[in-house]
Amino acid sequence: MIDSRVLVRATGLTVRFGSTVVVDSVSLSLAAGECLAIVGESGSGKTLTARALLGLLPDGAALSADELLIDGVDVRRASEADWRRIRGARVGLVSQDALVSLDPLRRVGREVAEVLEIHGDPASGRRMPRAALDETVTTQLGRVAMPEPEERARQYPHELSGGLRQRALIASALAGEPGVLIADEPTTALDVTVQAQVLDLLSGLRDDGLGIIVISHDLAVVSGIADRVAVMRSGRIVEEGATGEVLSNPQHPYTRMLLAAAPRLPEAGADRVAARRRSPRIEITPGGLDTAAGGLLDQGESTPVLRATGLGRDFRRPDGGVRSAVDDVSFDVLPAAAIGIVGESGSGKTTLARLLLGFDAPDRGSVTLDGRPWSGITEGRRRSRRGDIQYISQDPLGSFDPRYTVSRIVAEGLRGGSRLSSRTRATRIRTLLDSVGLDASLAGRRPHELSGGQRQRVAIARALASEPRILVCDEPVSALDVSIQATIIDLLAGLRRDLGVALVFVSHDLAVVATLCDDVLVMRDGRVVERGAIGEVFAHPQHPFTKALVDAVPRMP
Amino acid sequence: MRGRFAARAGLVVAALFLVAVTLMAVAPGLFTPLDPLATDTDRVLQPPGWGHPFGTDQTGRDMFARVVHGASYSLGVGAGATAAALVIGVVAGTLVGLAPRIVDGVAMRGVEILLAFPEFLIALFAIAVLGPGPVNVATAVGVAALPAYIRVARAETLVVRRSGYVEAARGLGVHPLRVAVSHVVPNTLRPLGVIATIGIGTTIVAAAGLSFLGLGPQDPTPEWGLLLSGGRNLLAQAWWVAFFPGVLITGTVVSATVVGRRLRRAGEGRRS
Repeated sequence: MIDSRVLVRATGLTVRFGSTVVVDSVSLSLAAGECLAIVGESGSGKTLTARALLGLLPDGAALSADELLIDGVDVRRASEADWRRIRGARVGLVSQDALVSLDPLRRVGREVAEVLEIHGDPASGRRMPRAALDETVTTQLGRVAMPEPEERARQYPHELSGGLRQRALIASALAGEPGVLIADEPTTALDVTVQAQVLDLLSGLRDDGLGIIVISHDLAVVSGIADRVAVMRSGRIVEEGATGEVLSNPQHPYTRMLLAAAPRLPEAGADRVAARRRSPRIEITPGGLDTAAGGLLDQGESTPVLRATGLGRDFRRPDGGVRSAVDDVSFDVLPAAAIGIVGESGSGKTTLARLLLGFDAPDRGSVTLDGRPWSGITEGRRRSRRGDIQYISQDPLGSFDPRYTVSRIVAEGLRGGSRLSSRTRATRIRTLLDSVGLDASLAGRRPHELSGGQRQRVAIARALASEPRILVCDEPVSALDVSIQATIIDLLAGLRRDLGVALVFVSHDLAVVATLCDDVLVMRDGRVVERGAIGEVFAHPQHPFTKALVDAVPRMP
Repeated sequence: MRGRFAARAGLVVAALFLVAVTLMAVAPGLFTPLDPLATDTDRVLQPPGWGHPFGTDQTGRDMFARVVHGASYSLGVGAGATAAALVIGVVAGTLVGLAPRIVDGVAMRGVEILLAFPEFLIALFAIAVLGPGPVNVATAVGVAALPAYIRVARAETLVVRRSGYVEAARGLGVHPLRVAVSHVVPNTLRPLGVIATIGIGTTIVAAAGLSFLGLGPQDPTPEWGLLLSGGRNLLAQAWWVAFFPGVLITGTVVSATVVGRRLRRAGEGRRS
């Protein structure tokens, strides 16, 4: 720590909506050059705590505190006008989605300049002349390591990549030279390699004396940057301490649960079986066939459930050129095998999943399902076989008709559902709900009345209704809290073990893939750049992109 | 808070007004024992007062009875034409939305040409072709309202068609016809039903307008537009002959719009 000046001190910070207490006597302090992480799952009150420090609580929220000092100023009675002088000049905010937070009609440079126009020269507080303004904008963009800052200042947000947008947002938050930066899930929307860069940037700023409060759901992300961690649950801080201490020696059961739930990458040299204890694949491989060494390529004695051969799919670009979203992808999925497809956004993972499902037709190559052609046939001929391959999406809510009840949703998946007697159908639905760990009492609910985890379970139950041989899952747990994520992954692993369902698991999250799958394909720009058994690929990545991907995964000490 | 209270009070008044007008249409006997067609040459052009709350017209017919009995004509034409336009619009819009691009393109250009003309003008064209008469007025007004319903139904179909649940149904191997019937149509119907509530008001005005021009039912039928037209020449001596039908037309249209907008807000809230 360069400076031990206390920038934020809150004691007994409480936020109420009517009689409901959503933040319950939270106490925290932040010194200059220090980074405090507030970690919790959705609904823990972490975001409201951060918003209270910015005077940005939503309507109807009532704030009370024994002490709330920002830069030595008591802000408990601050008016909206007072807050306007504090925000931007003393406390800066960086939020999750830079594309939403930046005005799409304004050049990036304007976004930064606006702060300077409102608050004046950070050094003197006086109005800045035009020339000095432009120069300061460039300096600020340079400070967040924006490449070619002068040129970027003239661009619009949509012309920048996600990582550069996040940098621009940080630059605008820092333009007024605030002592404190509050970053609410600053890297959640970013690819893992970009996330690593943004975290590096934040660490650098902290080392230069900025006080940072990071809000995150992800312990691993904050472990590399935070000096102290505060774990929140149901509006309270349940545990707080030095990062290393909390992670290596958690005191509160909730912290322990969070740590245990977080999926991890197998470490180099670590025992592979231990790393993948959730998927005992040797037991379920038919005929005792050992496919562990090369399941992806080994065509073995058993017919693959799904085989992709030289798959390619092109899209026309607006400029008239052609972009191959998927190019020359081949692989086999054996019965009851689990294959992970990882890559960053735009790598072609989702297009590949849609080709496998027959939602989209390949321009080159072919897909076979159970040894019979699956691509290149009419939808009419595919329809009766669709039950064999099922789909789990990232957004279960969107995949349900909002008017349908849970039982009607699941019933739609039953083969010959309309021909079954209503009693048989009810029994089948109850069995299916039971197999995904849902109580039968939920059968009459509508999707919007369910939690995120319950919705994904309903989606899985519907997919299982047709007794599929293979499930294609596209980021099925990305939108869920860590603890819920772990239960859904366990459920999928269990289905694979008990029902022998093969899995194709598309994800940007290497750790989740490592927990669930045997083999992995690493995709970049539509091509498979590396493939093999999970432990091998992640412990000894060969391709530079895989190395970068693996290195960028935040790890807990 | 006060604004919200006023809005709520307005909603209640509008809803009550619609209920009252609907009752008039269904059971006019509840409101008045008098015959709307009975003339009484002794009591010509009586101003509003006891016995004749809305006054009498130039042949001594009770205006209150005429207005009450007129509700069934006006509402009937409004609701009937709207319902027909809604049903035909949903079927056509859904088909167009699910059809191949070329069919969709041709059909929608046709709809856009119709939309380029004011609805009332289209209704007039239709009357010119069909000839005057109460049933033809309903048909003409319905035809005029139809393009808007087709357009909205198609737009909703396109949204629902790309939704996750339609793709999910496809992934489950559900037949496209079944997807259309069990997912697409019901989900387009909800927003359309709301638009139709507002549309009833427009239709009533259009129907009354055609009657006003003498293209609908003929005297002595107590239709609101016709009553308004009959009172037009008497405005200087007997304002009440035109005034009360006018109030009923305006009140019904405003109430239908207020209730319809409220339903639309509720529908939007539910969807998000």
